[in-house]
Amino acid sequence: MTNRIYIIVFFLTALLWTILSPDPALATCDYGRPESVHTHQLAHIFFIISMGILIYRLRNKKSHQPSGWKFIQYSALFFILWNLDAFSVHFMDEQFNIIQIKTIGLWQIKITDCFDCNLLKFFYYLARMDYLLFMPAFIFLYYGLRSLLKESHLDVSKPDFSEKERV
Amino acid sequence: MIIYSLPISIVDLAGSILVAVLSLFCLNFARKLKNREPGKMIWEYLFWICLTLALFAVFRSSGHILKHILLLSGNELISDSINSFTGAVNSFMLIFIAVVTFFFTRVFKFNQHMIKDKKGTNASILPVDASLDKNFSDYRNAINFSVKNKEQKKLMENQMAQADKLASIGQLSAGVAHEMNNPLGIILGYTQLLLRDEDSETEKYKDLKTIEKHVKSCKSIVEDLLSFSRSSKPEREVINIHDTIDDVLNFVVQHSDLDKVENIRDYDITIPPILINERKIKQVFMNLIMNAKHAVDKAGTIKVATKLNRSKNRAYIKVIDTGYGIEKKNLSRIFDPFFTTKPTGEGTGLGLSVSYGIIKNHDGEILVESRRGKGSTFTVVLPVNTRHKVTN
Repeated sequence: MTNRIYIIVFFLTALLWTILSPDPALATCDYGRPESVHTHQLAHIFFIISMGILIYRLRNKKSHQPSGWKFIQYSALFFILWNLDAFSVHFMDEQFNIIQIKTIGLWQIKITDCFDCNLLKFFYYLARMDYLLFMPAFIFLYYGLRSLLKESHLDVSKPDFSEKERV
Repeated sequence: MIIYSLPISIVDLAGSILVAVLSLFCLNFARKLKNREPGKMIWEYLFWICLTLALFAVFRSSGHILKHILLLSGNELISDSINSFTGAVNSFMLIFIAVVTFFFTRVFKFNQHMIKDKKGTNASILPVDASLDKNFSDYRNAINFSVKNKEQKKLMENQMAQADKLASIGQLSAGVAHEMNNPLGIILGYTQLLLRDEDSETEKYKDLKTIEKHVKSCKSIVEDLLSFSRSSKPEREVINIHDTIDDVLNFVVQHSDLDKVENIRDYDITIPPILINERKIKQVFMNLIMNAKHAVDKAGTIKVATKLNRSKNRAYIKVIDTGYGIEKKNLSRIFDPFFTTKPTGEGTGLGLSVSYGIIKNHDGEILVESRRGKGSTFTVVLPVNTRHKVTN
């Protein structure tokens, strides 16, 4: 018991000392901004895979699925599309600086790209409106859950995830 | 290329507000589904996905709206400084949603195992079976951890073996008991006939009395066996189970030395009257309470608690004692006919097996939990019908 108290006191003192007299942590290195962009991009990929798996699981369920599950599949599909959209935007403007934007006045922007390709600029302009994909994903999710709630009154069979289908 | 940014701003602002609202609606629906069937994995799964999506949507939308406000108010520098923070949180949220989607089922099942184990009969910490498997072909070591409730699995296997064994014993004992009952009746009849003409002071009278006593004892055992194996439905009435338990408890308290034994009754008064054969059910509770009395010996507690499970339409009647408990090796044998741990002459070993037969005939079951030195809990589960009215 006494030993445990000594250990706790030691660690608390060390923690307080670290907080009150900070020094550069030489063991770690600063990766800077690109690191955070790469992490964000990897998170998008992870999200895409997880939604793909969700669709795969739902499609493998019983053939007579309530319509609610179908809406949820469409929702997952739109989440994938939104992720691809967001990924490509980050890829172009933050990760590899292919696209540069400059605000001109209140309601205008200037888009330039390293290939001088108008199609790419237009694609970027459309891709910036990612809510056009993000919103339908939530609309389908909303309708899916609402249908499931209604169908649950009728005790419609629900898919369950078995061991072999888990990731 | 110079282009209007207004469409982007409008889509961004309108989309942010709509998505935040929709995500909260989705969360509400998922919550309702979860509450409709608590414990159902699929609804829990949907709820957690919706919760993480709602958190992400609300945070992202708030970030976008704030960014627009800051840009319009000319605070571009502040907007840039919060960008990295919102980006980091968004990354975390994306990963969190993906993790929930991937691993929820595993975590949920593991959690269910933990909960079950905490409620388990042996009240032990979840046993983790860790073993070192050596692959002899390439001499590489691999450590496989499998988490499973070994105790529960073993208990289930024992219960199945017990059900098989009791069914066989039931059939056998029914045949033997029926064949023995008639000759025993004849022996008793002739013994009592001889006793009539015999003077009560003679040695022969005493011998005949001994024969009569033992034949009666044999008949009692045979009748118990017949009762155990009888499958026909006896006459039943709709009766308040608490009155039946009270009758038995009062009888035991009056006729036994229970001065230092605390007697607790914890009844769930919402249990409706149950269709039972009162005489038989009294016999069951008499057996259980007398066993509890023997277990606590001179001092301890005997508690009778009842509980209604509305969803399963079952009444649970627990007889809990703080006695010396049952040894693990005997747990699977206590319902066997003639199995007893009492000294010779003190118990026939038929009490629990007869009780088992009676409860099975009532479409119920008897469960037992025991820990050596801590006490035992016998749970009688009986089906209830909420539409029943008391007949007496």
